[in-house]
Amino acid sequence: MSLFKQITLIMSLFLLCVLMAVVFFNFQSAKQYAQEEMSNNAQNTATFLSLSLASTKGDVTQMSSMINAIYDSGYFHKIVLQDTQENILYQRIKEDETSTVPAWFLSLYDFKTPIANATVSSGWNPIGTIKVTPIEENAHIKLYTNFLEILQSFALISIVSFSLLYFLLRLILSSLVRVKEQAEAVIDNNFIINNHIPSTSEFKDVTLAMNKMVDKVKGIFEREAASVQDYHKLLYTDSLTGIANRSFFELKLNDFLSSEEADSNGIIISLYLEGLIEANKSIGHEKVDKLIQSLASTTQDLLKKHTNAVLARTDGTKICIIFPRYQEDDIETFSNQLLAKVLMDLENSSLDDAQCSIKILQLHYTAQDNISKIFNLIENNISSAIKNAVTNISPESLDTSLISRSVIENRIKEHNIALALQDVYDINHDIFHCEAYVRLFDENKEIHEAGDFIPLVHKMKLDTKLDQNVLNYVLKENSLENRNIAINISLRFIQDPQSIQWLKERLGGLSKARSLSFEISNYSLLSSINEGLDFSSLLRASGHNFGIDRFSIEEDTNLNYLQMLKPQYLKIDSTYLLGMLQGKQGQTNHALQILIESLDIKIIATNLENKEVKASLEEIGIKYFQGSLLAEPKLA
Amino acid sequence: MALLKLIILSFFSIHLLAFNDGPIPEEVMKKAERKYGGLIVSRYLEYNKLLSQAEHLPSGAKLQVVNDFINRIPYKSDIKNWKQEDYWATPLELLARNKGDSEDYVIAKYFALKTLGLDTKRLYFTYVTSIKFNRPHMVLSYFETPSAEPLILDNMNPDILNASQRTDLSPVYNFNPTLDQSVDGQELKQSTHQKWKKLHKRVKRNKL
Repeated sequence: MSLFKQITLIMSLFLLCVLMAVVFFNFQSAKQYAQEEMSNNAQNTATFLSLSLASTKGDVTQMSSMINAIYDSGYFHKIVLQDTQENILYQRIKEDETSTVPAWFLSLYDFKTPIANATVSSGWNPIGTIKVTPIEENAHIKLYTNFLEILQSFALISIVSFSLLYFLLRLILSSLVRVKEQAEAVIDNNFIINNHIPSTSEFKDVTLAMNKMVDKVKGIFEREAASVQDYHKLLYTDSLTGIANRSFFELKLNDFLSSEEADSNGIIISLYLEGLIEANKSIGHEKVDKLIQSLASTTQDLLKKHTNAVLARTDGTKICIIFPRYQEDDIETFSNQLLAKVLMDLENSSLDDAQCSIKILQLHYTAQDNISKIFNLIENNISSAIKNAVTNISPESLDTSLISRSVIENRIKEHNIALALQDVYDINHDIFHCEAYVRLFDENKEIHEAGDFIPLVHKMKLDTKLDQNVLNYVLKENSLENRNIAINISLRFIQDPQSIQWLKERLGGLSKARSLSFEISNYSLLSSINEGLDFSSLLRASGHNFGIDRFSIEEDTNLNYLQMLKPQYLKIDSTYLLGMLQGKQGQTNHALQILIESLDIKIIATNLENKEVKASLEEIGIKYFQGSLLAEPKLA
Repeated sequence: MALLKLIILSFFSIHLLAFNDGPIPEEVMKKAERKYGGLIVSRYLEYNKLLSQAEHLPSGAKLQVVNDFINRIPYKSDIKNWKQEDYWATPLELLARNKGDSEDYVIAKYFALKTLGLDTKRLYFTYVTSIKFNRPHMVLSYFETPSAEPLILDNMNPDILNASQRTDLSPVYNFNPTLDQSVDGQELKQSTHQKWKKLHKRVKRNKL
């Protein structure tokens, strides 16, 4: 029973008791008063009559007339004149009439009608007694009216009291409601500080204690987040330049290459400083290090416009940049700007031009490439690259794509797509969900993976249509009806209000039992965090899941966005995850895991290819896995 | 708890010591001594002595003895004695103050005669007019039988005379406390006569 109901009940009982007590005592007092008043009136009348009757010297006729005069006033039920032997000399009695007061009321109390008497004398001697009985009915009417008035007053008092009580309790208990909201918010990892401190001391203490607790939990969360960021920095930052290191570069490149999105194709720029070993010998490490730092800083400054680019020092002499989803012209301009700037840096340094030179290599990568192939390509072309110039070493252009624009356009238009499904397992090898990958058949009926056509789809701005195709396919395909399918959603889709509206309508028509998961890459989400928030809220409201794919910790990004988005799961590359959790020295750092799991977010280790990694992850406490080790994507 | 016991005991003691059912109890005398001094106690003792001596006398003698004893008390009007227009004093108050007016004599005589066993139905408080002094007055009338001529006990006249001999008095109204408290033979809890009701309460409480 709620506190409100309890207090109301107690108040009701209290009011009832007061009502009963007041009615009882008031009634008793009124009854006594009525009796006394009747008694006094009767006695006065009896005394007055006896004095008057004394003047008649015992003449019964005269006495009868006198009695009639008094009786006819209508206030008396009975007037009796008796002699000293108690023989009735004369009497007047009013006939009983039906009472106007309800019988049930009369049965509630005992009312003794007072009878007054007085001695009637003639000279010194008493000659009889006069007895006067008043009418009872008047007293009953008065008592009944009084009773009704008390009830009415109490009804009014009760209404007013309960209204006041209701509003007062609502006011007082509102602070408890706020405390409850605070506590619930903490469960949802929201940290609300209640600035409305109630004046009731008990509630004030609770609110202040709650605020302290919320503040502390918030502090713990922020410390964990900061610790994760620090650890990430330690693992993936080049200590000399402060930019990312080769591990991070490889991780990101691998991530892009395996992406189902447009960033599976892109450009890599490699800035090579030739003659560095000799320079180290001739002018010393310090000056060379300074040059490298200045080159890194120059490149970083130039990259400010390119928020998607990944910059890393891949070895002692190279700084590499990945441009996913590139615009070729932009990159061309960038390369030339970079060259000009680094040449200036070189000039400004005390290094002799003859000793050091800059070589910039530019190459395309596609989903068909792999990391070692790309690194080999760079290494093989470095010696032949032109000094202090930009050299394009890409053998092919994207337009010579494996699947033509027209085919892509037609397939999407005709809703003629295929899906490959890959199961995601939990630690007990039960299926957690099944990720759907889009596939297209070309004119030769050869199947193509996302990397082959997504960059073109992105260029053709058909991402949202393709996403709609995938969702329609999932919803239409009967065999998928009972499965929790995870669908990849593009950045354009969540940014497009029409697509969101379309999704709302599609999801609205689904049965409540049907549960789908929608994934967005961390990379896409960070570039459109507000739309991501709206999207996650929409899914939560409609009972579907929201997940973040290809999660990694980004430089200068506060992990609070996880708390705001509240995804059901994060998909993290197994190698990256292991690195973050185990570190280079093999020590365990649970900060990331604690942080994510404290938000009630599941961690799914992806790209799992070998048993050792899986065993290590299991040992650390990872419970969900996805990758070729467990299941390859299969055509639906 | 002790207080409760005291209250219960004092409640019982009031009833046990109620003097109108007999002589003035010793406790009342002690109380009177504390309040007024030894002189009063001697009057109370005299009163008790009178009651014990008159106990076996015939009715007429009882009337005379009581009339003489009470009439010894000097007259004093209520306004001077009690600073009230009209105050009915209890016998204890009358003896303590040793002063009273006509109603006080009547009351004291009534209770003394009641104690001595006279039928109270025969004792009437008679409101009269004193023709000699032309003022209201009260006497105690004793009716040997209901229709007999009453004997008049008056503080202004030491002799107990028949009513017809009291030409100096004109009767106005008779009041009998016992009859007043009964209707059709049944005794009422309280009298409807307010003055008597208040007096009776004070008598029961042994008010000094």
